[in-house]
Amino acid sequence: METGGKIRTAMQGSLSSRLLGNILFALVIIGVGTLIFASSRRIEYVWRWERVPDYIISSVRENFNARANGILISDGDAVYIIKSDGKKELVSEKAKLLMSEGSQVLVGDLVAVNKSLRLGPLTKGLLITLEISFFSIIIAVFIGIITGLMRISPVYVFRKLALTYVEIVRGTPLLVQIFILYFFFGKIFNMGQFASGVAALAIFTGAYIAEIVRAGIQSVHKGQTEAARSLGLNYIQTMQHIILPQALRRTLPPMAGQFISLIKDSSLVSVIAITDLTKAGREVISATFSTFEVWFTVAAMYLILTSSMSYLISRFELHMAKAD
Amino acid sequence: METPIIFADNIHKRFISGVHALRGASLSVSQGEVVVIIGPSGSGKSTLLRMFNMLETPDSGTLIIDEMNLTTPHFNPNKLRSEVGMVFQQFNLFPHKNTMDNVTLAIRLVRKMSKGQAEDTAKILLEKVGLGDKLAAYPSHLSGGQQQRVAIARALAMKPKIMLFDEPTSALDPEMIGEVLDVMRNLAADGMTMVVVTHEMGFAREAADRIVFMDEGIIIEENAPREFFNNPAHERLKQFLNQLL
Repeated sequence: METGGKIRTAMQGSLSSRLLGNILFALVIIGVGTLIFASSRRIEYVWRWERVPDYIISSVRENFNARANGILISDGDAVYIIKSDGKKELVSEKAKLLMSEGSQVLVGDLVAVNKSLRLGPLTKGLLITLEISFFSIIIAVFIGIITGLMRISPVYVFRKLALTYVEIVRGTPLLVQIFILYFFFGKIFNMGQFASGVAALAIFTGAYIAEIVRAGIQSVHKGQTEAARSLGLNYIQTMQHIILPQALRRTLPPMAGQFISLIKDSSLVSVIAITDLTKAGREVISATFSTFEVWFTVAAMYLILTSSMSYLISRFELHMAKAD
Repeated sequence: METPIIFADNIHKRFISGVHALRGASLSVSQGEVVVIIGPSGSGKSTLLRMFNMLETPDSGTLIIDEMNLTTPHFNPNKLRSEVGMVFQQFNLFPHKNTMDNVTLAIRLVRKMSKGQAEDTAKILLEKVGLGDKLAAYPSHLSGGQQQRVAIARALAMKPKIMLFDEPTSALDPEMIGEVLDVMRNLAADGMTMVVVTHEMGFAREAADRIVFMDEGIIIEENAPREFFNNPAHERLKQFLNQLL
C-alpha cells in the first residue's frame, strides 16, 4: 500500500514537471505530424510550397527597354537616355540601372528594372476579412448592448422584442441568414455584398453579445443599483456610470470568444461573392491546384487574426484590472 | 405640533414572493429627530426604512416625506432621493471608482456641481469621517469600517435633509463598529434627521430621541430610550430585550 502511494506521488511529481511535459508534447506533435505526412505520401500529392509565398506577397519585376539610341543617365530614381540631338528621353520615373551610367545604348536594350512588392490575393483576402470583422464587431457590440439592456428593461415590449430577436437569430443558421440578408433585404434596401455581409455578421453576433451583456449586468450586485438610485441618479446615469462599466469588464472574456467566432464565421460571407480570405483561397486553388498548401496557409492566416485578437483582449483585461 | 418630515400611515406591503412584510405600519419623524428602529429579523424594519427612499413602494397607505406625497401616481423618485441619504448594510461603494469619485459622482451628476467644487466638498466630508488621507484609494483597499464611512460621506455630499441607515454596522468586524457609530453620533449631534435600523442597543440608548419596536410588520411600541428600556409595555418587547441581555 505504502509503496503504491509513493509511486503515485512520484508519477504525479514527474507528470506535473514542465520540462517533461514539453518533451512529451513535442513527441506527440512530431508523431501526429509524421503520421499525417506518411499518409499524404500514399495519395501521390505533389507539394508545391514554393508557390505559396507569391500568393501572400509577390515581388514584381518591371523591365524597361531603351526606346531610343543614346547615352544612359540617371537622375535620382529616374532614368533617362540622352539622344544624339541632345534631347532627354524618359525611360522610367523609378527604376534601377542595369548598366553603368554613361553607357551607349541601342533601341530595345534592357537598360533598367524596377522591383516592387505587391500584395498577393491571400493577403488582400485577409485584409477584406479584417475589414468585415472590424465593422461587424463594432456594430455587433452596439446592437448587443442595446438588446442586452432591452432584455432586462422594465418595459415589457422591449423585453419581448429583444427576446424574439435573440431567439430567431440564435435558432437559424448563419449561412441562411447571410442568404436572406443578401438576396432579400439586400434587394429591398439596395445593399451591396459588403454591407449585407457586415449586416448579417453583426446581427448574428449581436444576439450572442446581448446575452453576454445581459448576464454581465445581472451579475452586478443589486446593491450597486440601489446605492446609485438612492443618490438620485436616474436609470440612464446609473447604467452609464455604475452598472455598465462593471458589467462590461466582467464580460470581456466571453466577449473575446465571440469576437473570435465572428472572425471565423466571416468566412461564410464568401458565399455572396465577397473576396475574403476564404474566397481568395478558393480562387488561388482553382488557378494552381495546390489545394492542401493553400488551405493550410489560409488556416494559418485566420489563426494569426484570432490569436492577435485574444492577445489584444488579454492586454485590455490586464489594463482594466490595474484600475482596481 | 409642527408637521413631521416623515409621515407614514397604515403602510402595507406584500412582496411577490408572498411575504407580508408590512401590515399597517405607521411612523412620524420630526425635523432633527433621531429615531432608531429595532426588532427581530423579518419584522419589516428594513422594508419600512427602504420605503422612505422609495427603494420599496407601499401597496397601500399614506407616505409623505418633506411635503412630497410619495403615493401620488407616477411620482418621480429622483427628486425625493436627492433629499434623502441612504447608508446600506453592505456599504455598496462603487468598486470601480476611488474614494473621491464615489463621493463626487452624485453631486456632479445630480447637483451639476463643477469638478473642483465637488472635490472640495468631498475633501471636507472625508476629513470629517476621518478619511482625508484615503482620497485615491479604491474600495477593495479599504477596511469595512472605512468603506462604511466613505458611504456615509457619499450620502452626506448630497446635503440630504434625512439620513437613513439600514443596519450600518451589521456587516462589520466588532473592532470597526465603533468608528462608524462615532461618525453617526456626530451627525446626530449636528441635528441631522436620522432613521436608523440597527441592533446596536448602546447607540440606541445614547443617541436616539425615540426608539421604535417593530414586529410582524407593525410598530408595537415607541418611546424615549430610558422608558423604552426600563419600562417596556408589551410582552413581545420584553422578550426581545431579555434575549439581548
